[in-house]
Amino acid sequence: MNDVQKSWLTASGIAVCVLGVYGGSQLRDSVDMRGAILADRSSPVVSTWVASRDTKVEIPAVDYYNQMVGLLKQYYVQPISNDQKLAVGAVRGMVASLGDSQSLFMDPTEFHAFMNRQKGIYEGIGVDLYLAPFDKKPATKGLVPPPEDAEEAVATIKVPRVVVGGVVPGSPADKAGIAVGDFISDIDGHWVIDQELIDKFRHMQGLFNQKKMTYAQIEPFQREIRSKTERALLPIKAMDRLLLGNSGSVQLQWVHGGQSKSATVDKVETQMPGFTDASGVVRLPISQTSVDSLSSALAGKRSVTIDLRNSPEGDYEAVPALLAELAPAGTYGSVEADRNDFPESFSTTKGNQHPPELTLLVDKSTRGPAEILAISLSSHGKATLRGSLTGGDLALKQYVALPDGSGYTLVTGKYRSYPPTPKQGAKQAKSGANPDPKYAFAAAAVHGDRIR
Amino acid sequence: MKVKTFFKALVFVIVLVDCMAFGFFWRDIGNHQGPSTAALERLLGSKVLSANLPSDELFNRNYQRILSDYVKPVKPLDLKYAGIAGMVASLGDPHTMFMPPQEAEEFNDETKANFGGVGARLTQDALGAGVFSSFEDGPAYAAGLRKGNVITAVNGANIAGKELDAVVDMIKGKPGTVVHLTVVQAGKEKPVMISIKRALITAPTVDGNVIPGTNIGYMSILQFSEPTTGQFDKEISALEAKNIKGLVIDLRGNPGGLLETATDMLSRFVEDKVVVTMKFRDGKVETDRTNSGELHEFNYPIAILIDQDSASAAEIFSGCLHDYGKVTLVGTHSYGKASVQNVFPLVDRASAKITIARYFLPGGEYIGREVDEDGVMTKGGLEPDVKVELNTDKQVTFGDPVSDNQLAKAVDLLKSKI
Repeated sequence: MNDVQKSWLTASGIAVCVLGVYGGSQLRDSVDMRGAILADRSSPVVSTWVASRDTKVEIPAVDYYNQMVGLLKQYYVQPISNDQKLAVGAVRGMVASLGDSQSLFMDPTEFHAFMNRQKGIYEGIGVDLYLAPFDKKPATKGLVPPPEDAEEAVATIKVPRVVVGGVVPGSPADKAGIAVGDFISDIDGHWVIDQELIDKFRHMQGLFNQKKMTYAQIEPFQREIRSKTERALLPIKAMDRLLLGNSGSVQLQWVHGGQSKSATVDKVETQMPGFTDASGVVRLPISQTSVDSLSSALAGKRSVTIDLRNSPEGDYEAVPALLAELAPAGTYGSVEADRNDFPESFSTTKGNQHPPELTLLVDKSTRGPAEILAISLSSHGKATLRGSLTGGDLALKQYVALPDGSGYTLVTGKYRSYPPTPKQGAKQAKSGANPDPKYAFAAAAVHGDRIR
Repeated sequence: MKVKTFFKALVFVIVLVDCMAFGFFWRDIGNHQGPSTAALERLLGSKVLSANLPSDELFNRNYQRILSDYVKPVKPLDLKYAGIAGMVASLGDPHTMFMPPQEAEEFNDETKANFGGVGARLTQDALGAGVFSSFEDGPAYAAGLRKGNVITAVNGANIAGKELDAVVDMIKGKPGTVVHLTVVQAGKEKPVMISIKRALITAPTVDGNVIPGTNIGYMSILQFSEPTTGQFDKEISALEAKNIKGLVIDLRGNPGGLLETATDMLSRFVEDKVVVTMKFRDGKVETDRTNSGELHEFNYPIAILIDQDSASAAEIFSGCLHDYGKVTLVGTHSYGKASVQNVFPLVDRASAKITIARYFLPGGEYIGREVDEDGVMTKGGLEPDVKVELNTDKQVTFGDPVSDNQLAKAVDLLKSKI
């Protein structure tokens, strides 16, 4: 090879490299440009993208997401290495935007403890907690993300209460006298935001502004609110303090039947009683593993009492299987969802043709899947309820796990004891034009003690 | 020979592919990122490259799940924006945020220094809205509206019991249009009707007076906007004409504003000195220096009042003067905002506000705010030289040393230096 050939070869080698780099970057441009969101075309991200700003522009969600990730990666002050964290953040934002106190995002520790509770294993003080919306308006609307700090929460939204849904027998909470239906007011000197107090203060402020109250009159209250807000806990944070960890203790204040109580409560691992069959009373946790045990417990019995108290959580997917053990195949109500015009039927294809006579023990700690099981049986004449009014949580939920260990609950429908009827019919029933089985049940539950 | 040609071709192809890969991933390298697998996956249209679910797929599956399974109907557009906002929020930086179209437009209006109005600041009043101040060069003042008047109706509509913000919205409007206010004035038996032609208002951001019974000046700066430097100079001249022997500059509640304004104002104190050093993600460092030839002689001691709401440009202004030994800081620690944001407009009229740099004060300190899980600040902000909490046991009137104990402390401090 002579020198001329060599230089030609070198030159063409360089040319190939340059062309390669150029081609590669062009390719990347075209890839990144799909659905570009940036309006300013001078930006290097979208060097050749021309766009007019227009609210009607609708970029598909995934493209929008990718573009925003690209924008952050290019400009954000710190390098972004964890893409998964961004996606999980997006999921958190979407779940929060539903403004639903039952569709909740949980970080890895929260979700782990939550899934354990479904199996009856409890961390913390040994309680089950739920958020009771202060009023029927959604806690947040549309796009407003949940407030990050307590002060903002006080100023903007209606804060739900942290209510006890179940107490593990023998747990520190049980020993301290915490009961189902109580609500938490203070943890370790941190105020658990109470909407009632905030509203009261706002009302007083209004009176002060209208000069119907003097400053001296509202001042002590103002000081109380201010000192409380300085160290306040949002409901979810409050729940964390009671539901997570198996060591240490919390200084707790709660309200029981209108009266404030306080105690130091230890955190230890406790367990809800599992499946037991003692002297004709079956304790039935709502889980897949209960199905076989239930089958043998029922065998050959003429009458059985099933204890569904202290069942604040459980596996929704186990309900049909348990129903199939306890009653003949059939339709036991419907699942209503506002997104559908026609509710789905809540029914079983398999069943027990000759079930024993059933008595179900219920009270307000009978919630969620246990409550749905109780109502579907009793409202269809397959069981008698004993006890007191159930918890009133008939939402069906999905539990969704995310790859980083976090997860969320998503309400997918509401259980109704009546068979599927088109929406119009359901509405009529609600307005009272048709007496409907749901109300018949409610009455039975209220007077549960009398229908023995 | 054939084998040789084959190898030559192979080398050629390998070099070409490598070069293309280099070109393809150059963007990531330039951004100090690892090669983007997502981009490659988009190119190949497959998800086989990563064992874990790619981030966008993870987003999309949950987006679709919520749309199809949630008990109530969800608007796809709202859900998309909520997801994007959540993704941006996951960075944990309170100043980096996604603003959907409506919010972005409101933000845009807010940052504009000027608006159409009558030129008055209002307060809540039992009868409607009280006039807290009427800007001397504003149309309201020209039409006869004065401090202490009470507005009871706007364009004939009674406003008693209305939220102040709603009243302000009624009074604001396009420059050139007319608003009719029903006003109660002291000493007049009947309310008067005042018609005011709205104009572009530049709200005063600086206010000052000599504290009664002392020779100490008091100046409050509400924010650092475009006209603030001029207003600051004017107020300094006015106070110096009254022979002040000390000055309190009140930056409490001042949320900041334009860095340029802070720099201009600092140029009255120090010449060609570093204001802040900004560090960008690509390692680029920019410094902002004060101008030359704009020095003013302050031959009296100065104290600056700061609190937890003094942020950004207010912290730069007070932090710089402190670092150059020009002032004493009095009050409580400041907010701790030490970052620079850029607003990126997006095609659908939404926008993204992204922190693009951090800044450091002349002394090299980083004052970025850090909070614990309750949102209580653990680190950051400026520490005052003289720490005084505001005593709110009584109703406080800012600027009045009798009820404002932070100001009283600053005044005492200056008196001891005179």
